[in-house]
Amino acid sequence: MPFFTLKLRHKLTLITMLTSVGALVLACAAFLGYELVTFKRTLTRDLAILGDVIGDNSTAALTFGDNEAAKGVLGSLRAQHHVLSACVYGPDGRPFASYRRDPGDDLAWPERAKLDGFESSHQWVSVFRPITLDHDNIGTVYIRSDLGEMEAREKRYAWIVGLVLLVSSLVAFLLSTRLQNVISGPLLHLAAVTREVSESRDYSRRAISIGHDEIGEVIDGFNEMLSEIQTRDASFAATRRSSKPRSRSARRSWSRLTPS
Amino acid sequence: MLACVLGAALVSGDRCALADSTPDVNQAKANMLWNIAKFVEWPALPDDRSQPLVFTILGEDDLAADLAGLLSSRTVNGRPVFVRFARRPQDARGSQILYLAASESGQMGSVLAAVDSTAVLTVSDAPGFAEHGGMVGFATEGTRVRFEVNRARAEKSGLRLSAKLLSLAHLVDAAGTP
Repeated sequence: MPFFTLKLRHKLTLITMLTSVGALVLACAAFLGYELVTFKRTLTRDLAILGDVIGDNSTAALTFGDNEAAKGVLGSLRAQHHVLSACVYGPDGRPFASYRRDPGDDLAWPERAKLDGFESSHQWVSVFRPITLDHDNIGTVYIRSDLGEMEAREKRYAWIVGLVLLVSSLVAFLLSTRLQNVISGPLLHLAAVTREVSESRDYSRRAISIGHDEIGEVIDGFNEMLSEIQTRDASFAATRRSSKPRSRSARRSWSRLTPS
Repeated sequence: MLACVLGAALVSGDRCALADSTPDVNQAKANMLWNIAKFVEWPALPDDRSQPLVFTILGEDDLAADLAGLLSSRTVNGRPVFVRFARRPQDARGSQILYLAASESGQMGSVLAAVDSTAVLTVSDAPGFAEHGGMVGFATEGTRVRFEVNRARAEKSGLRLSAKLLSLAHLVDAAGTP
């Protein structure tokens, strides 16, 4: 496993990055998914509102049978580039006036009006809205919109999400390389002191302990071990220094005790 | 009220004068009047919706009967409707809509004078009605209705005509007074 051969610093950075980027990707995916689900709903709601406005503006034209006026009202949809076609139906459910963005479009609206509701395909969404005047149902309006707005919005969201991911990963990287020092710093220091002690056999060296966490305990323990070794070494050296003459006299006393 | 009773008494005996008005045409006109009323506001009317909207029909009793029949179970913007028959111009006072039959266009001047600067919407299918100081003149062409609206007159009387209605109308500028 290459991960286990990595330096501690890199491991810590990698762990932090994996955690934060993983969480970010999940959050962004959830956000994007929610947008995709709700956007079609938002689109149909906006379309229904537009339909209501068109319907309300066509009430007089419908009431007095003025097709040209209704066509004029529908013509105001030209400002809404995403509207493919629209139709106002009379009280009998037959088309009364219509509008289409692209003249070639043949099946731009249904033959007959339907009840309030929406339909969608992978190319467009459409709504039917009743037209009422003074509580009477006097007709129906139909509006069909392409998904251009939705695609543009999806693209925009993808860009935003990508940018957010990139920038926050960069910030996470910078932060983690700085902050991992809190953990790796004392450990690296301990490792360096251990290396020095084992190379120089100088047991008077001490590691500096910062903080009272587990690493601090390890360093304190290490320092205690060093001082123990140092004390033992010192007492051992002292014993060695005093043991020579003592052994000579011991030998002497031994010879004195022993009959020659 | 008197006009109504009077009109009701006269309606049976006066049919011959309206021989040219077939039932279909009257239905269409009754519908017209009802529909026009939906696009007009009478700011002077009390907010109380039980206060009826009064239509006065001058000169076409069959139309008045048809209109009464059409509107008996309906409301206009939440208000019940009351239809009156009238003979004399002064009977038009106190109503919200006055319809003057084309056959009575000889009385146009005196009728308009009787309701001058009161909040009564004057409607007629008499040619040139709007130019002569009426508010809404109309003519039917098949299923389509053509309007002439004298906006200045309507506004002077304190009536508000919907922009939707005005957008269909040919606006007449003549501020002609009867």
